[in-house]
Amino acid sequence: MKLSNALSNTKNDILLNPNAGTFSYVLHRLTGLALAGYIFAHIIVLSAVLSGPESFTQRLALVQTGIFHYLEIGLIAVIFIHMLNGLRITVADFANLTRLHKTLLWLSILIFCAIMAVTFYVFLF
Amino acid sequence: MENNTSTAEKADIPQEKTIAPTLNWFTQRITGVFLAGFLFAHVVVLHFLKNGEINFDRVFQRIHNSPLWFAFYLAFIIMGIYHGLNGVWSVIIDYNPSESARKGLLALLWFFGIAAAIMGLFVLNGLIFTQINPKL
Amino acid sequence: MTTFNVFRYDPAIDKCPKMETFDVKNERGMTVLEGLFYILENLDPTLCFRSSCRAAICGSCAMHINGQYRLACRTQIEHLKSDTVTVRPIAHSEIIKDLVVDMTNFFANLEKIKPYIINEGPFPEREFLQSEGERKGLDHLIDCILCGCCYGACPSAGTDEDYLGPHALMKTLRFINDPRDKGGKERLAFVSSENGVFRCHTVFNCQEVCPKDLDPSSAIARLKMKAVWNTLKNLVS
Ligand code: SF4
Ligand code: SF4
Ligand code: FES
Repeated sequence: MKLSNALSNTKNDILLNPNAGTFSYVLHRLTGLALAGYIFAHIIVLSAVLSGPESFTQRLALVQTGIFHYLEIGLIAVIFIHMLNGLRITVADFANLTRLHKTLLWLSILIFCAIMAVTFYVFLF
Repeated sequence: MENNTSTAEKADIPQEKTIAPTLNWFTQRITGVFLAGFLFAHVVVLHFLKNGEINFDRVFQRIHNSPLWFAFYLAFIIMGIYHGLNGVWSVIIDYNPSESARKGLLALLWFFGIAAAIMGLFVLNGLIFTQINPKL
Repeated sequence: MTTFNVFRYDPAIDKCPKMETFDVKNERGMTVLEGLFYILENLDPTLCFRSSCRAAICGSCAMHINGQYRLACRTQIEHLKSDTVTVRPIAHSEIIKDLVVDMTNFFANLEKIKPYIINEGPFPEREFLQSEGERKGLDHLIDCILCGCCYGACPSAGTDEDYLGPHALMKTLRFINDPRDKGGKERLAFVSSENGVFRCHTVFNCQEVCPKDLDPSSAIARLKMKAVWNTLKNLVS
């Protein structure tokens, strides 16, 4: 299948199947790609340690102030969306709980909300 | 689309051809479960309990010369990179790249993976086994 | 009155598909399929769609109706709770005309998994015997009417026509679980290849849409686990 066809099929499938599973599939892919990119960014930021403790401290100070501080909330959200959904599909496959996938989804949403509440508390107060 | 494919020929897949897809999928789940634990610990320690800015001193005091933290981060880095790139690979093969594109992309992912792993190990070494004592 | 938005496309004439609107006199208990017949008989004799049994048995009338793949003959307009009914053909297959799609690939994928008993050794003197209990255990895998709802809803089938699809994978488990079948190993190897079970990203759309309330995603989950243990065992030994 041509790439353009496959991509337009993906788009149509998302629009034509507005199910819980489709949303988590899309979110899982997007957050996954974002996190894969983030690993590299993270290593590059921390590589400041190779030029000594001072530059490490300086670099870390830079990424902990201003807008970066608030972006970290987004990062934590992305991490936990991917983690909880990943655990959900793993459990569904391994323990054959496919019929419970919606319950599992609500459970992960609940846990996600709890974690985000803690995150907002820690970051904003 | 082919019509009238002979089922007898089509259905026989050599055993070797099944190993990569199966292991890619399985290791993705296993590393995923480990990473969930690692990442949770990482986020709790570095974001929820951080209480002020993170700097070299604090990281150094926490993990200096600790083989346990070294093992933790070693596994974390390797599994994180593997899980990330294996995930990207599964998205790539979903869109049926041609045989040459597939080879090229796979080589690219390996290159990035190994480069990131080496870089990560250097960083880890710098943070855990470095001899500079920041107190002096 | 119910407004029908119907997908229209004749590849021989039209440059691109369009949605056409029809007003259908809606009676209590009327199904979407009857609505389409109303259009065919009273409003536009050129409308094309498939149907046969009108009793959710043949699987001909699967289409996308108001946000989900369903059987038109089994969906009452009333139950959609909407003034408009939007009807589209099944995705991932070429459109022949309007709501009729080319299902060649869907059935070719089913053929690939050898949907028949593979025998070893001599044939039994009379038929292959199967106990009632053995048959009961296959019920939830056997009831598939091959309507194509799951195939249309599966995002993995959308990116790769060689992905076997939920229907064919569920059929594979039906034969692996059948005590009369001796092709288990070969079947497992076949579905663990790149276009098999591991293309499934556990989206559950197949379970969501199946008009027979089957669960292909569960069959696929079981196949995945079997495939993993099989491969690990082969690697160790
Ligand atoms: S599994 Fe269900 S949705 Fe899929 S073809 Fe069979 S009956 Fe239709
Ligand atoms: S669970 Fe798997 S087979 Fe079913 S629709 Fe989703 S990707 Fe397709
Ligand atoms: S017409 Fe046979 S299933 Fe709808």
